[in-house]
Amino acid sequence: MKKRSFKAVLLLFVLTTLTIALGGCSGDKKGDISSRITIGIPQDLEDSLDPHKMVTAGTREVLFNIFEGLVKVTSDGDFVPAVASSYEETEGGKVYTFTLRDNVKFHDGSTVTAEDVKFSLDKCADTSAGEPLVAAFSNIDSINILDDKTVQVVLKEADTEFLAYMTTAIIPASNADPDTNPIGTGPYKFVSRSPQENFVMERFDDYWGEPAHIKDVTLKICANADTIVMDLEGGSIDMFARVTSTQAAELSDNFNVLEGTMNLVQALYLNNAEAPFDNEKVRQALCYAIDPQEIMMMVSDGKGTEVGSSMFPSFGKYFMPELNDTYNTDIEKAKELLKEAGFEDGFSFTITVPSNYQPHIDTAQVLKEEFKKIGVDAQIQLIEWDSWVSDVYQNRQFQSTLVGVDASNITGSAMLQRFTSDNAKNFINYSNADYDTAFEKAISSTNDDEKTTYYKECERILSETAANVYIQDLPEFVALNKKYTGYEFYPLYIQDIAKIRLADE
Amino acid sequence: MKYVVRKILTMILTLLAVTFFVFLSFHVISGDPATSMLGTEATPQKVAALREELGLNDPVFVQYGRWAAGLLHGDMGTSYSYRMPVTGMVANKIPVTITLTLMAFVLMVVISIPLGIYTAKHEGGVVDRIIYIINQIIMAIPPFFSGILITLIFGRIFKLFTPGGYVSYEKDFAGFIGYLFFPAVAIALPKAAMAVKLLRSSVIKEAKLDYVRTAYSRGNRTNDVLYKHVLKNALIPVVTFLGMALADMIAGSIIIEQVFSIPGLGRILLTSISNRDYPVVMAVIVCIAVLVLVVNMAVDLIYGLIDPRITAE
Repeated sequence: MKKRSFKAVLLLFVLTTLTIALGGCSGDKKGDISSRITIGIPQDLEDSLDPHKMVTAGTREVLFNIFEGLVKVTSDGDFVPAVASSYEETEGGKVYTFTLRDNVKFHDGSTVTAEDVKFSLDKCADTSAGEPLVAAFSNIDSINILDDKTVQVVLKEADTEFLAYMTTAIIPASNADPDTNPIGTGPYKFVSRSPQENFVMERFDDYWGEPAHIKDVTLKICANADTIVMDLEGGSIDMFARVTSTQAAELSDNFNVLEGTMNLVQALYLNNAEAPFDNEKVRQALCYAIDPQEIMMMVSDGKGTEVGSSMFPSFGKYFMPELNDTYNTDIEKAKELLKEAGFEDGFSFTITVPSNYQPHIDTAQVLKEEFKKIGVDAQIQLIEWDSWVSDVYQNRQFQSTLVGVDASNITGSAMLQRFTSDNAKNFINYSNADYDTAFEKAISSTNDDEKTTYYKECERILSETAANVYIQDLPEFVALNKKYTGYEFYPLYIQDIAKIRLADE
Repeated sequence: MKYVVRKILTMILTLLAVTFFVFLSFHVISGDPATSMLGTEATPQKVAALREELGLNDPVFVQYGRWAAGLLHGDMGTSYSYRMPVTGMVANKIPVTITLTLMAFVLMVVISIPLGIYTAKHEGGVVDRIIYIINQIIMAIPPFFSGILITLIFGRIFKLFTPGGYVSYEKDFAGFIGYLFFPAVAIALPKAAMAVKLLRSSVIKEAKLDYVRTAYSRGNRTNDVLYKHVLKNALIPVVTFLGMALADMIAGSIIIEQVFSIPGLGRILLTSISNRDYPVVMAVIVCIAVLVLVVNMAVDLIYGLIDPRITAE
């Protein structure tokens, strides 16, 4: 190749590349914002899009916008009729009768019928594969269509909290592919998705209720926590729920950082079946050793709410702030209890933490330092989330683990049921006869005040027997570009996108 | 032709070996797809039922055979997490990774060859020394970090691109190339630095050989000798390096994709491993393995072109 022509070709090539590059370089900027929003989410909806089969909270909080049940949750924790226009509870909570709202449409244009309702509920109550898809539906005796506007649910045993489970999504019986093609009745409908890239929704104009404000919603997967602030500032995303307090501090004036609670109970969950945590005194000693205020200072700048048992503040009527004082920080008392339990020289144990939750990792490190003061040596072991689910949660191979446990619905039993002795999800192997009795009384009670009293009794027992070392309900920071407003916090893991609107509307 | 056929056969055997070992490794690590799919709803009965449904209780060889047979029919299975056919999921990510890697490769060549020749010609000069220092610095910075630096400097400060603002090639091809430019720079820089060093020393060494002296003494001009004779011979080790670098860049792009939020093969590979979504992992590994093997084969063929001494038996 001749030298001159080689150089010329090279030069031409470089110039062309640079021109294209710098010309097209701007990236996906905000065009007309009049009715679109891009929301960053930390991981993709790697789940079935079938609302009855989805398991991750991240999927649940997004699909809230696509699906609705006979009733729906409000941001205050109340229930309002959704696909049903009214309902009636009779026979002390044993029979629930729902009147269907007129002309509710599915996203594919068809109208919701009583058959669709029965289909959806039957699907969730089906026990042919073992447990029903919605655990509480094992209490359903029958689902009856009384006429084409009325569906009745009859329970085996009366349950005044049962309405909370009627948020189960109503889906069309005709949808052959619910795993990948979600069709519901909610304010947004599914448009498309590209795995690990985005999830696109569009306002459903035939929605029965108040229509959503923003038309086009793109959920963009922001897998890398380090780039979230850059993505927000650069404009490629307009909102991110659950930024850390450090990230919140880095954001400029273009953003509002809204503060709420994560609605979970963060605690050092102790395997009650394994030494040394089978000894109540040892568990109590650890409770006396920690200082929740110090933890909240170090982990989230002092934000967060202390909890004393397996209940978080958003469950207003059940939450007992007085349980925070069951174990006020008392190093001497802690050492004394250890001595009584036979561990005068302290001991060593492992804290297993899922590696994808930074707040829990940070908390574990603070705990490690606090435990040193009573002569206890905590080894922190980080494992992948999937390994956590199989090794810790399922196989219960752990000594202690630092996680946050949330509730999938607004009932007292959502948080408390797992601690009954033979519950399949009792991953801490807690076993206390008084607790089982109190819980049994709670769920069989049909009087709301009585129920509340028994649930509180359960919480008290958990606290006094130091089932776990309870710490806090973590703060949740939502970063929202000032162009938008209207974000509302819910007492559950929910992102209500329909309420978000442009700030100058 | 026999040479090419042999190379292709080797490629297929390598692919089989790689995929089998990856498949085997899934059975060694903890966590399994059924538990992953069920998450905190998992109970022993549900997990057992799901495993049966997915065919996970069959012996390893049977499962592998099933997968390989499917692959030959063009069916890469269904994703455990997404319940979508894997082929569709992966297909539109391949062009992204290929484009990014190719752009990085071109940038690397474009930067390193002129620089390598220039510093070799002016060995010991000021420019040579400065380039040497810059090279050392660049080689020491990991691509992840240089990616973040580039995002900060060119993205936020100079606002030449929007961090995270990936543009799909289906929507706007020019914007797509434009957005990939800086990530490609991040990948290309460390490799370019190494290539410059290699080419420089290779040219210098070659230029000291006897036949070069003969050419000069015959009266040929310096530049002609340099480009017509020296460069061709000096390029051989560099071509080897470029081949390895290209394969390495495919791996490097996996890391860079995280920094720049590019939906290529890298991201889906990492999340699928995390979710124990084996069909997707296998599919991505096959794609990457094929790319690397094809590149190596191309390098071998280019040798034959540059140097007539290297011909297949």
